[in-house]
Amino acid sequence: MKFTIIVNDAPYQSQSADTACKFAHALLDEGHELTQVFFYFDGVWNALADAEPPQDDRHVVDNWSKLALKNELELIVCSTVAMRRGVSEPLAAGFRLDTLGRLTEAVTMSDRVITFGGS
Amino acid sequence: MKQNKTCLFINRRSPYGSSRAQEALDMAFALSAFEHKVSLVFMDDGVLQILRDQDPSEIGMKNISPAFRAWEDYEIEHIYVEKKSLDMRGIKKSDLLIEAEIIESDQLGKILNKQDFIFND
Repeated sequence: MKFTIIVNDAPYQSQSADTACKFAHALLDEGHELTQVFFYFDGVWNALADAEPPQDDRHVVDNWSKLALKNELELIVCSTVAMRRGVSEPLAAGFRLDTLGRLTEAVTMSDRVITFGGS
Repeated sequence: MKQNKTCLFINRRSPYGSSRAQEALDMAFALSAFEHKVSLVFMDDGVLQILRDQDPSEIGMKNISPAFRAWEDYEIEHIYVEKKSLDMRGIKKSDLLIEAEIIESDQLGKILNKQDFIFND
């Protein structure tokens, strides 16, 4: 099955980003396809290149980058939402800015769209 | 695979408490512009998004009402409003700035079942 994942919360603000990343690993391990991960609302903060959590904490941004590099995935950060918050390139490895148009294409190609965070 | 997905946006937040109402609308517009079949539900504080005569200028926020009027240029399948949420806030159908279908809470399940993609905000 083809999945799109949407992440709506900032890292460390809630568990949503962690859960979304784990969900992505799990569906790929099960042999499903991941069309795209799209970052919206405060989810765009997941893409900040300079994040440096204490060493004994998990590194949410790095976890995304590793997921993307290992699986040749697209981590798309909504450009309008990012600009509103001052999030700009260069972003962390694997992330790039693009429009909502990219999300609509991913929705077209996916059997399931799963959102994390936001309530 | 079905190309044009049925997409439902559940709007539960007040219009100016955050930028989420505006940004959720932006996403709904984008999906609609790409031929997906978008419907909207307004419930809880989300019903405040579609009140008539909004003027947030004194708190320095952008009025989201014009975005709803632009709906008429897009092909939106359904706009639903939960009756209980209106009643709890003393809002009448005539207080709303768009034509909406007023639904009972127990109709929501059926509506959710018809969707390919649900965006809950």
